[in-house]
Amino acid sequence: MKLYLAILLLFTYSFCIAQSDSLSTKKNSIYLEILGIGGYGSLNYERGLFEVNKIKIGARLGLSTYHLTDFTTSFNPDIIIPIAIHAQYGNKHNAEVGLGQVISNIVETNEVTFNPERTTNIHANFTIGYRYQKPKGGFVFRINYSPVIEFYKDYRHWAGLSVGYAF
Amino acid sequence: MPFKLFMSQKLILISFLIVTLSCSKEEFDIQNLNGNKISALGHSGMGNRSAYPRNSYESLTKSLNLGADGIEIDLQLTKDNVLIAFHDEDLSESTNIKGLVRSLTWSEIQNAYYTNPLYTSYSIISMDQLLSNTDDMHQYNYTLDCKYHPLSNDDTQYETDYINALSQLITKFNLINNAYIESQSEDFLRLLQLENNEFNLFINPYSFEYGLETANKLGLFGISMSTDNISEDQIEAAHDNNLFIAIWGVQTNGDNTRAVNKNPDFIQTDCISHLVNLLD
Repeated sequence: MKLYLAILLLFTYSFCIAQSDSLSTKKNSIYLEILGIGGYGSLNYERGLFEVNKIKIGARLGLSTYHLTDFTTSFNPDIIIPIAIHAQYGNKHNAEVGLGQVISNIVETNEVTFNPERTTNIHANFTIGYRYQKPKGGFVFRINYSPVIEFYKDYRHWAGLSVGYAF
Repeated sequence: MPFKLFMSQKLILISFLIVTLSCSKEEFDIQNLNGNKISALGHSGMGNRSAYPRNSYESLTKSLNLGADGIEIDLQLTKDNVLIAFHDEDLSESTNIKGLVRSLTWSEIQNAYYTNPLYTSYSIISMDQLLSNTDDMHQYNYTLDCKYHPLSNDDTQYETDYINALSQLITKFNLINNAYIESQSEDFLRLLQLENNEFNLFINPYSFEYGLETANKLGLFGISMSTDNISEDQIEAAHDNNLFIAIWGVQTNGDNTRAVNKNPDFIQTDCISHLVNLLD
């Protein structure tokens, strides 16, 4: 999976250089995703990288949490960062696929001391779904099947629904 | 101009009244057997709506740290007679391993983790681990909801092992005054009573009438009922019979308020912060 992602990134980068012509679609979007690769929900920023014909490629970075305070009630938030590359095909109604990683930094219990302890892990994900977004920007709606390979070990069925704004 | 001044003064007064009234705390006239005080217990810790898995160390401990008077814990027995805090009969329902709790040893269960929420790996804990790592353990109440899952009807040893393990736990941590044991089984409660008649035993009955009859017959400490299935009058009737009442199934802030108004002795809630503030 890591290899596939590296190939995709390389492919994206090469295309960016080769196709650095102007983007006709609004490049930026911000959306709130319910469930999805952020866990229970995430706030995301997406930037269009390049566009050729009806194919658009973009990169996404998000932020999510489960708790802001740990079990001792001290401020000690869980941090979940979804990162992905998305490819869309269409004009206003788009088919969308994506591939990415999630970095999780979760506060759990140390098995020896029983004190809060941060654990960082990386997980893989991919998405396939529908995206509504007009080229001139405005309202964004996404719905997708977004399974996660948790800890690069356990395949978990998952889904997401996003609403946001493109500009 | 005077009219405008009058109106602005009126608006300020109305705003002041709204702020004052919304900040005022609700007053309750609590009358029960628990010293006219309701004990606020976290249902499996932080309850069903928390991102922490039920009965995990994180969930149980956070509930106590938020000011709960105690916690309700689902109790199960492993194959090698270790009492663990876990709700489901089969581990596959909420963890990454399969099998009935009774069919696996503690060392097999110890390395499992809850599968929800995503990206986390909260562990299952034993009661020994929980109590050993709870600061000021004796300032809290522990409602132990005995989940009774023998491997088969012939598993007669299960009952004996369960009672022995529970008795040893209470003795080891000196919890006789802090532990409240709940069960749906009249026979199991009778055996627990034979083991130690000082145990605080609650029946968790299918109806209030059956609960009242059984609790009186066996001389139990109290009755544990869903808040939907017990009224204020029934709680008063139980109190008249010197029986304590614990209510569960309290899932929202509104449920907390309605539950408090019924005057029970214990409330097991999914919204512990709200209940603690309500009773403060």
